[in-house]
Amino acid sequence: MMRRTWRRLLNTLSPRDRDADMADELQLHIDLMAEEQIRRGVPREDAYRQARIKFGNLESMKERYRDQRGLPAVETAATDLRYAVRLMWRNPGFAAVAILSLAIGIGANTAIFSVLNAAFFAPYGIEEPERLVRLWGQDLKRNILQLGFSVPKYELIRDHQTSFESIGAMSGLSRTLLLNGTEPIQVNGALSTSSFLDTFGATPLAGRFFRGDEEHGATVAVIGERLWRDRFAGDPSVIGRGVTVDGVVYTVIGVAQALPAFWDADIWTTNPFEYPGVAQDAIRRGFSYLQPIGRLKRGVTEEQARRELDVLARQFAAQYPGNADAEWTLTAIPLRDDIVGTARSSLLTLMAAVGLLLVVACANVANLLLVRFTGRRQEIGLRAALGASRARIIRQFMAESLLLSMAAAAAGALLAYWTLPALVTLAQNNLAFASDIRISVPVLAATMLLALGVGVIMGAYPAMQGSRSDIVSVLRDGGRTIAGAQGSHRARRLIVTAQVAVSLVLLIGAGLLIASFDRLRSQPAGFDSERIFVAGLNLPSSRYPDLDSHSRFWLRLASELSNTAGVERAALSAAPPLSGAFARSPYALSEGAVPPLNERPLGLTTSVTPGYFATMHIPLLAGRDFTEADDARAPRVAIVSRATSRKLGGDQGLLGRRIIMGASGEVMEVVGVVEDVRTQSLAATSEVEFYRPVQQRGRPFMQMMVKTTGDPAAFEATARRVLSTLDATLPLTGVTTHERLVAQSLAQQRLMFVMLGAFAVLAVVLSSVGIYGVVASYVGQRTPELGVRMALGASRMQVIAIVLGQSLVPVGAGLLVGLFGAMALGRFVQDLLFETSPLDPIGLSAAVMLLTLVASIACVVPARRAALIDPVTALRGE
Amino acid sequence: MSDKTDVWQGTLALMVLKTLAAMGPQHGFGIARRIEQTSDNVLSINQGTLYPVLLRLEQDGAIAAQWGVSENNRRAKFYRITRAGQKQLDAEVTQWAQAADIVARFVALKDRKA
Repeated sequence: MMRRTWRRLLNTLSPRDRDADMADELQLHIDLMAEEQIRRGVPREDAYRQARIKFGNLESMKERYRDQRGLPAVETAATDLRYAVRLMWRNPGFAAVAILSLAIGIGANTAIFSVLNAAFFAPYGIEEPERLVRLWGQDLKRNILQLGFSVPKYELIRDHQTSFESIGAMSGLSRTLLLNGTEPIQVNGALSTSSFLDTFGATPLAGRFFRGDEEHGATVAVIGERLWRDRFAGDPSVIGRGVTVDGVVYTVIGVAQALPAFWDADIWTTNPFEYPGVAQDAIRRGFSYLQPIGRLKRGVTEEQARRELDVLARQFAAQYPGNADAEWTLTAIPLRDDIVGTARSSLLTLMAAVGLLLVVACANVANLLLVRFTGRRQEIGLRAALGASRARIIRQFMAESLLLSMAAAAAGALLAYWTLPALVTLAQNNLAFASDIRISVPVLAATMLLALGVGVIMGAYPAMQGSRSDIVSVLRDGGRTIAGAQGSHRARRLIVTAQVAVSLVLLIGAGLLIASFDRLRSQPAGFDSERIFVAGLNLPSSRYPDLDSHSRFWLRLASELSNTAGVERAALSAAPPLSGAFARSPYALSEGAVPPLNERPLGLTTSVTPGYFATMHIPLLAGRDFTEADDARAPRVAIVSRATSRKLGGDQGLLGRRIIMGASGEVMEVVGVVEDVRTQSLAATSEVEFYRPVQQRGRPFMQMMVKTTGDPAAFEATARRVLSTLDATLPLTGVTTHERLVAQSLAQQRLMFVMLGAFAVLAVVLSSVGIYGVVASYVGQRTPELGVRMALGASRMQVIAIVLGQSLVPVGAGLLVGLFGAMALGRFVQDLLFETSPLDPIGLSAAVMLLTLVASIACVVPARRAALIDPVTALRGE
Repeated sequence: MSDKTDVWQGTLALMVLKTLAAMGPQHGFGIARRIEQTSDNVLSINQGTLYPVLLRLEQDGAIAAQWGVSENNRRAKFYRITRAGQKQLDAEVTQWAQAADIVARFVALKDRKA
């Protein structure tokens, strides 16, 4: 069977010679038949005539023979396609409009496909990513679902688990790098177990990764791909060279490929069970800074791994009952799900949005095709009369539809290719997989498949309509009849209804996101970002070994900055609002029965220098700010937010009362209460938030917050100059302004509303083109009738009213359907909305009004043309 | 139509193959004539069915065609059976013999006297 098909395909490719051969063969047969008769004495002419009669219809036989010889489907498809190309060429305006409409719809889909592909299928360049899971600790009691591992916990899991081929852990931290005595740079470092990179399935681009015996005490480092390319020009001879990391010299042993999302680092070192600035004692008692991953054994499911982790978590609780993380449960999340994370609902929304946009675009083209196909009734009638089957005619129409969709797919892919860089830039800071977004072969394949489906679906109805023809009446009326056009006009009005409905859904979706964004942005943040310059700074432990050296440096820096020209105020904070950095500590009121450490809730805790609140314009509601006197030898003090004071201290407040904080259980007095601040996101204030003086809770990494008198973005050089007077070897990192940090915290919401808004606008534009087309063709068809009406005394306004009445009914129906659709679909975008109901009346009515306005314009323009009909010309045309 | 029996569906391929196997390469007219002669002119070969069968057998690789010269000195397409065709023929002959045997046994059953 295969073989036969193959030969037939080959035959299809060279039909000419074979036709001649066949004619020869059949002719010979007839001749031999005749000669046989002649030999028997039949007169020559009779013999030939009889032979031909006996042989039957030679031409129909040739036709059957041809059908069997080649693949008629392929042959006719080629003919159909040639014809379709010719028709399209003859009417470039139609082709351009149709292809552009579709290209917009398909291109938007291609772009989103490439995002989805990156999110859900990107291979990350690592070995079998589907076997990787991330391990998380979960504190269900306090509803904290993403916690790291402490060293004892990691060791216990590592030594007892059986589900994983291997496990590894890393912890990211900022590092100061001196490459070869040049200027210091601040990079992303990673402390990792010797097993981490191998477990991840990364490939060394040069050299090797860590050996098991290098986990402790070894001063060897693996550098990341980005650093290697940027600073070493991808030179493999970097292996064996020394680099200074936070003041200690390490030997480079290898180069690691870039890893996806937050797993990437510029410099990898071992000694993962010591953390700079944290006492070994605290590490053993539950400081949970390790981020573990595991590579599942073949055939082991995540579920099985999770069950084993449950058992191991109980074992850990029994073995280390006093540790802060004793009661946490454990879970394993597939790495990909972890990376996609909260973007999932946004991605699905975008996919739905581009799907709807494509529906609108398809409807437009289906509309055009309907006009075009039904307009060819005469030609079709003629072909039917000459014996073309209906299926054959439908195939011809489908070929045209498919040609359009394929051309549009190519154009759409180009559109996507051009717009994708902008999309990636927009997504860069808030989609962890942004760098994997590209138009790849699977994306193109999906696009082609989509275009194929689109071609079939949008062509189907017009082809059925166009091919249904009453031969006699069509030929008799010379194609003037509008009886058939009546039916197709109904279909076109239905299409308009669908377009309007879908556009309205998109418009409402975009409107809701915009309303939500606007509400989010205008939240009272509790701080003033204006003219605040922000930059981070890391003190290497080699030269700043203890709390005292840290606090001396930070206080001096703050005062130097404050005394600089062009500075209003300056302070430092370990975690500025909306910077993404934050830390939580367990706390308890130091009154009555104090719960054990592992049952204490966690509260945001930030170290700041004196003057921080004044710099950020955070009002001090009661008590006092920190001073330089609140140092390591003074009594411990803390400042709390208003919500904290109310939550823990009730009506009486917390001022003057004592709380127990941190794993070490220091007792401190609350000396001040400040206004609530939206530290983690603009969407909500933090329930519990503590501030502590940097002298008492030292941090090697702080961020300077400088209120400048001029443009904060121009302050960088000054900041560097001030810093160099204190310590010339320290680099500044993350230089930005606080306004930019605030904007970045909204980037994902902005991305969503910009994209959905763009899709909605495109949908509305496409729909209005569709509405315009339908009304215009209605006017065209009814010109004679309208002419008669005007001749009989109808006024222009009446004519306009007739046309509008015809066209506004489907638009109104579409609005109604769309409104209900949007209400039904509302709950799917609920996740993405901030304090905005999917049924938000203002959003809904604004969308309805906007669409009504656009639709009316699209109707009125052709309706006006109807009113300008000259009755005489119109009647003569008839 | 004619008083001659038309060839039963599906058996024409068998006849073509057997004819080619027994008589060597033949052109279409020759095959038709030989089949009619073998059947003592009981069968009449319809050209409308013969050529499609030839084409199908050729596409299947059961027969191969070659251009040669006919008895009246004309260019003619000669068909010959291939090894695959021989195999197909053997299989079909066995099948046919079985079927014929079964039918023969039924035919041989004696009717019960009423």
